[in-house]
Amino acid sequence: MSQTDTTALLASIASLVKTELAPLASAIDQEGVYPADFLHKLGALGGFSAAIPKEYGGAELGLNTQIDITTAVGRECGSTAFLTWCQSTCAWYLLHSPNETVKQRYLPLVAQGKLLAGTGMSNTVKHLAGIEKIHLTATREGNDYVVSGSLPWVSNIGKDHLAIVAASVGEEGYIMFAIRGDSEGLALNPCPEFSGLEGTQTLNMRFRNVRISTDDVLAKPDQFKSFISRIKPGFVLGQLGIGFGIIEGSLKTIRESNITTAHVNIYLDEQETDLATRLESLRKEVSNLAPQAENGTARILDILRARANGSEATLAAAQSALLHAGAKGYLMRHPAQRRLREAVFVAIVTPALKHLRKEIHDLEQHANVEAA
Amino acid sequence: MKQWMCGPCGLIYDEALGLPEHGLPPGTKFEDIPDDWECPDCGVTKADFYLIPD
Repeated sequence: MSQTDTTALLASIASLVKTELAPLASAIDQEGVYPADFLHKLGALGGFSAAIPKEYGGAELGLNTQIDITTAVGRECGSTAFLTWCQSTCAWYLLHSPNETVKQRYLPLVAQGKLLAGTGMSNTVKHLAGIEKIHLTATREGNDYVVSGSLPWVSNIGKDHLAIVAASVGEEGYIMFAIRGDSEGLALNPCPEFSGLEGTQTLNMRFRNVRISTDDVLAKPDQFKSFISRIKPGFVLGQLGIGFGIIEGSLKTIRESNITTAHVNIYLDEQETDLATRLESLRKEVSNLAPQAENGTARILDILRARANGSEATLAAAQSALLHAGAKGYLMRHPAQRRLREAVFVAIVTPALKHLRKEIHDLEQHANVEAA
Repeated sequence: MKQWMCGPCGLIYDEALGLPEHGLPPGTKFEDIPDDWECPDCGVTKADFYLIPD
């Protein structure tokens, strides 16, 4: 990995974000503008492929660089940082799939942003943590699978997109597979209006006897458990980039607010320096964990704790930004209220803060039993 | 008349109000809705709805 390559990539992405994304941030959040053009340009620059080897069309700069890219996007727009995570995480899934056919078919296209892709793994991840039942069921027919059921909300999808999801195959276990948005038997329905992030193209996926070829399967039942363990640390850690971007944006709002009202803002509990120190500490933690997620040695408990800390720090920073801005921060045109809604999203998107606390609790209990 | 909540998306089905825009007139009891009916907002079936206590 070359530091020069990383610095150059981040500089070109920061420039693209400033000129082509920042002016759209409010419209993306509230008016449902989906930044497809920006995503394609970001992909062409290498914005989704930092953790992908060159042989699959990647930049091969590491997961830390991918998190830095998501942060750079999130500094201006939390919605698009989330989309950046969706896309780069689908590339991450494909990279680690034991099925070379599905990898060759989709990874270069997804990594370069030529084929936009959403990850519909929320239900499965919650199901595996003992939180809810799985919504997609599959039956085997020869080498293929036939899938039915519904996933309430999947982001960054559309007729010309790819989605990566999982289904239960009864006693056999689970499969994880890729599906094109225009597949026969798949309906993509609009969702009720969200309070923000409206431009993330979040749709309800309804499967009715959708046939999945074995060539589109990322993990078969006998591969699923080890596959999920392999991808989960990077899946969870990558989301920290969204939070870091929102925190940086919130710190900027705090600095701007202090130009006129520092004399009163000093009475608030969370000051810029406190939040910046907290961000730096989290960054170091994530920076140490990212290479472990890449080489498969990360302890999931460390990853979940870092993600929970990230949610809490993001909420604290966004709330502080709004309190620093005061009444004008409550105007819809002010970024502080958008940042607060984006921060809440970081805390409720799977794994949500309550999910993280449950999983951390369960793992700690298990460790205590093992130690006893 | 009872109210039922969709587990995944939180939609409330109020038997008194029904869902006329989705073919369920006011007064339609949850038990009288066909089993293959789907939540209009998220597509799950009746089995994923929970009775809201009074």
